[in-house]
Amino acid sequence: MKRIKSIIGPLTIILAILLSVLAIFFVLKNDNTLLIHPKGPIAREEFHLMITNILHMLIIIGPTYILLFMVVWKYRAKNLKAETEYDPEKSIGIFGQLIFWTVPSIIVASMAIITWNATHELDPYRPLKSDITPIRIQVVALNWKWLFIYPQQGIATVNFVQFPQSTPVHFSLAADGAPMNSFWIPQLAGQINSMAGMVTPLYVMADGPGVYAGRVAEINGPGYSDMTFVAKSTSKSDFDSWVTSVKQSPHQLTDRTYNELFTPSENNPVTLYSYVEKDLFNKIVLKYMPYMHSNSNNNSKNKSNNNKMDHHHMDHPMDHTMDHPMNHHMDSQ
Amino acid sequence: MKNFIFGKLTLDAIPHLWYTIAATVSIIIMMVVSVLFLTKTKRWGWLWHEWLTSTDPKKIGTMYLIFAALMFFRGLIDVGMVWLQQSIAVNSKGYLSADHFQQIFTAHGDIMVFFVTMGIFFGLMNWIIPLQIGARDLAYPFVNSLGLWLTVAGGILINLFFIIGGDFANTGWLATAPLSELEFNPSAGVDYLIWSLQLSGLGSLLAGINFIVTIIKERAPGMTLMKMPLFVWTSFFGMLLIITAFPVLTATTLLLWLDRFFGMHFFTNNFGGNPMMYFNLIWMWGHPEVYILVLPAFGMYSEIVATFSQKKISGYTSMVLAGFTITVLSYLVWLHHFFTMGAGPEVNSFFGIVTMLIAIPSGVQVFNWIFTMYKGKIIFASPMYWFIGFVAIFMLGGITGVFMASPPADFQVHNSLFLVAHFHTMIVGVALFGSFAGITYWFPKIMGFKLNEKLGIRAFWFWLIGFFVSFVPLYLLGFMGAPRRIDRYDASTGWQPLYITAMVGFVIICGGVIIQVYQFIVSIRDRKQNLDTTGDPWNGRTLEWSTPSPPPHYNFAIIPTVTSRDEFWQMKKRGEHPQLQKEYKEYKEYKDIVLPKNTAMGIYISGFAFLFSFAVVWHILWPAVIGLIGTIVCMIILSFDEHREYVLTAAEIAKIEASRVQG
Amino acid sequence: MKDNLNLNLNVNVKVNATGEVAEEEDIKAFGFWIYLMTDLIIFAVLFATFCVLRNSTFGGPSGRELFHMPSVLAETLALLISSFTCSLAMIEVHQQRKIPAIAWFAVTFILGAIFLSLEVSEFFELIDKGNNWQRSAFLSSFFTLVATHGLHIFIGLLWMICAMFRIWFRPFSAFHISNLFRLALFWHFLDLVWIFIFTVVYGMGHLL
Repeated sequence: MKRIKSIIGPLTIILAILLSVLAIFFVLKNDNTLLIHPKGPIAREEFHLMITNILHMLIIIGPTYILLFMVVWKYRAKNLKAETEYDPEKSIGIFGQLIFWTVPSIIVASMAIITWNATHELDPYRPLKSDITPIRIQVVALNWKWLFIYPQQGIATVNFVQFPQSTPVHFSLAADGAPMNSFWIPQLAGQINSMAGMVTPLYVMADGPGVYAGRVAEINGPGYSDMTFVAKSTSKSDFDSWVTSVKQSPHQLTDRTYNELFTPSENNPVTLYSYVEKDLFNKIVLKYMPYMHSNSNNNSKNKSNNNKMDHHHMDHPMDHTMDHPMNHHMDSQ
Repeated sequence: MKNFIFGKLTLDAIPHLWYTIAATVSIIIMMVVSVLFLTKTKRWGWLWHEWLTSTDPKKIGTMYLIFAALMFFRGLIDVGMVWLQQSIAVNSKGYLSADHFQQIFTAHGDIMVFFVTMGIFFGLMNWIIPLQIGARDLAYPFVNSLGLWLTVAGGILINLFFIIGGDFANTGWLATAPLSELEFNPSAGVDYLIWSLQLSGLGSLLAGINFIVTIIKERAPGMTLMKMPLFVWTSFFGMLLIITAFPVLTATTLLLWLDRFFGMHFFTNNFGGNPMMYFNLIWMWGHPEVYILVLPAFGMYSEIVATFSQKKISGYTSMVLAGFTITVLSYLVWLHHFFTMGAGPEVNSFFGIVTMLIAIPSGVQVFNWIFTMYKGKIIFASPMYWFIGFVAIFMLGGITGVFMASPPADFQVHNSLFLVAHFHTMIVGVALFGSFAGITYWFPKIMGFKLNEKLGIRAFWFWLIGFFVSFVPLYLLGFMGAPRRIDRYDASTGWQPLYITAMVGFVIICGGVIIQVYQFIVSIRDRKQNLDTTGDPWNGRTLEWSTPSPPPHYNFAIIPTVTSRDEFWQMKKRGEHPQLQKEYKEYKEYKDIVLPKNTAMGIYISGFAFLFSFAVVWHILWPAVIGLIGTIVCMIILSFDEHREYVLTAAEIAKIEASRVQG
Repeated sequence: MKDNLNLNLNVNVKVNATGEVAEEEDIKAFGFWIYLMTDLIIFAVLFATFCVLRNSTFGGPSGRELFHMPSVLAETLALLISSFTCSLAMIEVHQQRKIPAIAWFAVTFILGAIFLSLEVSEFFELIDKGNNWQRSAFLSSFFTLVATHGLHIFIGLLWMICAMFRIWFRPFSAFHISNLFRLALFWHFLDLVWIFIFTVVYGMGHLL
């Protein structure tokens, strides 16, 4: 009887752990677990990178866990067998310390190489390798909705974006009247910030047809939670017919309608615009450019040393040329 | 005229939301009850002379701990409200508006970091560091008192919005620009946040300078740097981080305030301002801050594991080196908080790799902790439970940290609940568990009796299980693409069951907290049974255990001369336990001791600084001027006061010591 | 620094029974050094923001068009000389001569006040022409950096008034001398910061 009692305790613990592991497994297997079910090459690579990192860490942390519990169990004060080993002055010497420092160093070195390569390969500024010419979509974060402009097609959408499958999509991200935002389609690619007066690129590609959840991931005010959008990839022909159908839409994006759209609003319905003013995106970005607002004569003098302009604010025409518009003003520090 | 007297304050500022009304009422009730209690028991004079104006680091330490405990409950209520909202707000608005919800998690973050965790560490450091290095006092007793009261003033200011204004910042705990700019946030909430951080940040900075000077200058004779206990070392590193990082916080939040108050353009979207600069600056402080929170905890764990394994710490030099490495590296990783901002791959991977480098010294510490237990005799007292729980959680945090250190992987988990889970793993699992371990470990020194062990262990299990039930779902939610800080979501996302699980975890943790409160009550009730008469309840190793519990206000009647690491352990080995020696009673070699007098200046200055901050929040000129002039006048009066100390004569010491030995 | 202070404290200073006074004042000086380092970090942040925003004029005037070098040079000269006279005052303090010490501090004070008034008049001139801190990020950072230094100078001047009073009314105790020593340190520190401001803000603003 006593024996059974002593078993019940550990048994419940083991059972509880097993059940939790099972539960975690089922959660991860679920299709809702977006990161584990990537639908495009970028997200897939990013997921693989996570796995690689976990495995690297487990090489060292796995044994350490086992060691921890073994040591704790063996050298408990109640274990009289181990008492003979008790050595209050024992300390791991210089040789052991060297091992302590080198073993994690080797793992970290290996991870560092992987990180360096992966960061370059999965750089959001880097165009995807593909024979198909990328489709360009300009994205503007507004309070609190996403505006997508298709410069090649001359159409625009709100809170909905569609693109052909297996085609690189080149997003150019900016914001207008909104604070710092982050553009995220978990199943296609990791997030990139979209900011006012600045263009950040993001390349993604979808393997096949599908519908993906997208949203803002950086807190940006009361409408933050509902600032979501739907991304849809279809075959090329479906995409073309979709474009034609959008062209029939009664809505047009002109200066006036843009100002209406610009007023903060939450939970905007999907809107399709059959016409978008030319260069709207550039106008939105240049709104925050210092020299565009110049009305004094002396301004021409500082143009030459305006590094903001030189480096990245004007980068819209060139952000696909692999010229890194490194927008960190803090380099000088 | 109305503008002159009240500034931006209008009748709208009185509480009119259910939760601010509830908080206001409860604050008023608490104040009335404590005033009545103090008046009835005639304790006002006692409170003022014995406690509030005290410059004794032990009393200041106790006050820090009490203050941190109070703030902890505030922070805990915030968590409950956040979880409840997220558990029920599916396809609906829940019971809080987005704005309230955002205010609550912002307050939660600031309170837990600035007032709870740092408060507990300052409390314990005030208590233990002078005792461990064989000093009677900190280098600047007045500055110590001022630091405490500035922190308290900050704490009051962050809670004051309940009563006046009813609005707190809704920006996240770092008030990131440009969301915190006037354009997006015209209410006084962000100003409350800024000035609360200014006050408490100044308090922390002063405390940091104080501890650095104390550790460098006030060590007992013979205690070379490499003979210092590890808690002193890691606290020293933490304080180094404070004095270098907190000025950045002060400057950054001040710039934000200039933007808001004077219409400047540091971090605005327009007029050439640069919001990215705010991210850089705030994280240049923010990342070292993380290590300010965990380094002292590392030191506590080192003390605890050595004591309860009844062995000396393994690889002392290596541990010091690891602490130092972490300190240096923590300055070089701030950019990993915003890989997604679009820096080039060179910059991103540099910061990613430096971040990974921190795993090396962390690993060294874990190995040495484990090998301290190796060939030891481990006593499973409750601090040891917290320690083992910590090591297990810390390694989990290491694995998940690597996700965030690798820029491409970080693109996917940044700003998600995965990130929330990761830093809670570190703050709860390392810093908070460390605080509990440290409090339990040093409690007999502070109060003179041990805490109830059985309840302590029970509380630990509740916390540990609650921790996993609460934060593992968050990791999973991160994988499901759930961003942090959302107040409502769609049912189709499938997030709700996990949010509810996390809420259950929170309830379990609350169970742990209730047990801890009960543990205090029971321990105080049964203190006679757990009395610590020797001053050395755990068979300790460092000098604090050589003093009686609680120590006299001068700490050491005779400053010990240190000859080795773990000096007290060696003393006991040599049979020189100072309190067990027969001669102790007749010890005639006492000398006069100079001790700091009590001073109320810390309270006055903090009071004026508080008035100034409050006035600035509401744009009222006259109290701001009064506050500013008051602060300056206090400083000037203080600078003319040459007699801040008194002498405790040898005869008086002999009397105190004799009475204790007899008693 | 340490030797210097100890040397001076040995002269005719009451040391109490435990002999802890000299040591304690030494500790105060050490803490003050650390405080100055933290202050330096605040200035470093302001310098960094200035350098980042230097060209963010948003169509407004740049430094080259705004700065009036002769007046800046006058400011610099006043501050440099005041640093020198402050040292002279400290020499008198160490020799425990009250009147000359006060006299030199008075000269320092006047020079500091000249500096401050020149700076304030420069500010007013800028604001009058509509180039205030709301004009552009560059001007925000300029005003903040320079005014923060000015605020420090103002605090230093207040401190100096107190110091002169104290020299007049009180004997030179160790406590007292160490206070003056810290004042001098503070003043030299501000001088040093100004040299950086002069170089980075005015010099670079003018040349680059």
